[in-house]
Amino acid sequence: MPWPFGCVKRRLADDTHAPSLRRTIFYQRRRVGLVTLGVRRSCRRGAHGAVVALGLSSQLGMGARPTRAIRARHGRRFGAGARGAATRASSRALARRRELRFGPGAAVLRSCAVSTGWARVLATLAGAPATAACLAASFGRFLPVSKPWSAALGFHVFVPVWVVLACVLPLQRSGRRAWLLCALVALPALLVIGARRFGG
Amino acid sequence: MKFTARTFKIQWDVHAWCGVVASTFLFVIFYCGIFALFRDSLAVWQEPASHVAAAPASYEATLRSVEKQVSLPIGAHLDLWWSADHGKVNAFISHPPSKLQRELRLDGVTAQPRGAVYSRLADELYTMHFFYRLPYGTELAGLLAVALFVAIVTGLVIHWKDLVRRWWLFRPQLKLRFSASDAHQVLGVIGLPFATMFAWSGSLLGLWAWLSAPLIYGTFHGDQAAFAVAQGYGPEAGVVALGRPAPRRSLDELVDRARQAVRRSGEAQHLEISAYGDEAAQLAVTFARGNFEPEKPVRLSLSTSKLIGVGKQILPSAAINQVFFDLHYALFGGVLVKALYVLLALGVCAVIMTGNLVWLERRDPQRLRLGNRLLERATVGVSFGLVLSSAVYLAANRALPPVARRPDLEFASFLGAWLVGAALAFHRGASARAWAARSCLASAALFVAVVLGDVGLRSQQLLRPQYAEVEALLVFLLLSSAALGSKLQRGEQPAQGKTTRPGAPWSPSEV
Repeated sequence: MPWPFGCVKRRLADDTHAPSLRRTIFYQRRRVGLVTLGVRRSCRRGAHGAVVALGLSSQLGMGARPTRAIRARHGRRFGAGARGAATRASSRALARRRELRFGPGAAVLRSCAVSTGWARVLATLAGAPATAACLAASFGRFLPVSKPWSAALGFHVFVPVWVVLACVLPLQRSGRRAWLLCALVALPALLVIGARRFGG
Repeated sequence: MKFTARTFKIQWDVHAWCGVVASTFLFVIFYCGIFALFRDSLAVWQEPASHVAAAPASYEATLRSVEKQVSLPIGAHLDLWWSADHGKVNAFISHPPSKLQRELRLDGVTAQPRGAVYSRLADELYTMHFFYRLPYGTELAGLLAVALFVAIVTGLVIHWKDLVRRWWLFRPQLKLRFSASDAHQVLGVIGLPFATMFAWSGSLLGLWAWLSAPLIYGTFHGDQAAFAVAQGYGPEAGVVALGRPAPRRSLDELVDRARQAVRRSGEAQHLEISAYGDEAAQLAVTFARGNFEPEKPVRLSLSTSKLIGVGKQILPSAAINQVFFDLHYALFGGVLVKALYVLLALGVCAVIMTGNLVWLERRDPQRLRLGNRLLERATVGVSFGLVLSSAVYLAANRALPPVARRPDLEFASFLGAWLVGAALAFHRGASARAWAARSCLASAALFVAVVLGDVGLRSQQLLRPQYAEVEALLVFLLLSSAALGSKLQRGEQPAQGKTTRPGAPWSPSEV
């Protein structure tokens, strides 16, 4: 595993109380960080008002929902003792929290976090149909079948590709990644169209 | 297959946002789609003049009437379209060399020009189905269909792990948030194939021009005609006039011959005459299609009645589109399929309403945010206002005297009732639920009035198939709206043993 990620993952696994980072942290589409109040809706029970942190990363990574809050700082992570609000953090935990916020790992944490900006939304709204259009046009041009068949497939592939992209692009970590995915799909299609147009 | 929590949450958000943004528009589309299904029958129902059952004029008499009204030059092109009940005929005449272009609207029984339009009810409700009157309304409907498609796919992802359970899990005894969620999921899963088919075919219909553009410019170098030919919609090779006038045969005789050629017994829906009056003149006769069958125009020589050919080449795109469109327009299976479509369309309307309710109850049960309060009122106002206004439209069709601009007055009553219904829903005097109940009960009362009026004044017409279809639809709508209205009205009074959450706007205590 390349450096900062392994480091961050280990650090996150050590820390049990980092409520000041109000973002969910993902690594390779796995939730390895915090489950903040904004994500609490996906919890069936527990985690009410508390920060569910770190220890659950592997379970969450497998797609399980947290069923109980983790008692912050120390003590039992599961069971009755885990419910309720987080207790006051120790000085050691506070130091870790400070390090997470301002230390060298903070930038990495931010890069791991899911973007909440508009770039990803814009990619979903505008990038998806544009990419689907490129793909449809390249289908009409590239497929080694007769013209009526390629026109039919190109025309009818547009909407499904658009819909699939509209569902997949929001899953990207950031707007930049979403646009990159659009470009990765659209560029070969545009190259095919351009090559056929200018190459005869 | 189980998705990660992150995937689940993001798909949930996409599903919720797609649904909530498109919800009210989709309600209009699906509700008006019910009337669009019965457009032909409504066209008969809306005009008392067409209630007199009479044999339609012959094809030959219709053509003679056209010849009497327009001096047809040799080589002219003539299209004659009959309505489904053969009560109306539209004739389109063109002759490019003399720049002749005419449209005639004839009565199917007398073959004489029709008078002023009595009502546009069927057409207006049909065009409202895809917002035709709005600028770029058709494209908007297509985009909404795509949004519906995205909502369906994301909904499928969300409930993939318990999809089977969602078929039957409905717990009305639970809190509103959960019972509404159950209803949303049960109806959504039951109507999944129906909604998917409509989302896909609707997006093709609405965004036809936009979907074609990348292929036209990316593949066909901007040649629209070449694209149309590849799609199977290109113009057929025209008939070349020889320049030698020749007498024509009787149309009735030629249509009989066409019937024998395709072994059909029904009436022709479309007659197309090419190179009129010339020795090379041709007649193409098209009958009503069977289920998922391609059109088979029978081409005959107009001067010698010789059979030239049957059918035309069907290209892949046209064949695929035909399946989509036959499914979309319910051009198969007869009345039973239409009845099933009505049920499923109302089911999708319920899915839309409960979806918005789930959004509100999950995110803001106390309606603390202005946006959520507006969403609640807009959902009730637009949706139930539309139900009320459709009932007003039907009642106006029966009540208004034959005055000048009668179709406009009818349509104004429809729009006015919708506007008033939507505006009243924003009034803070009662809860959204109370307005929904009142709209439903008022609609039911109007539907009852229309049906009773028809039974009392036009009972002899009820056996006509088109008329009976519309009356059955109205009875179904009145029962549905009465049941929903009384249910909502009952819910206004908190039942014993149940506590109503204080301050919730869907409860009567506070707005």
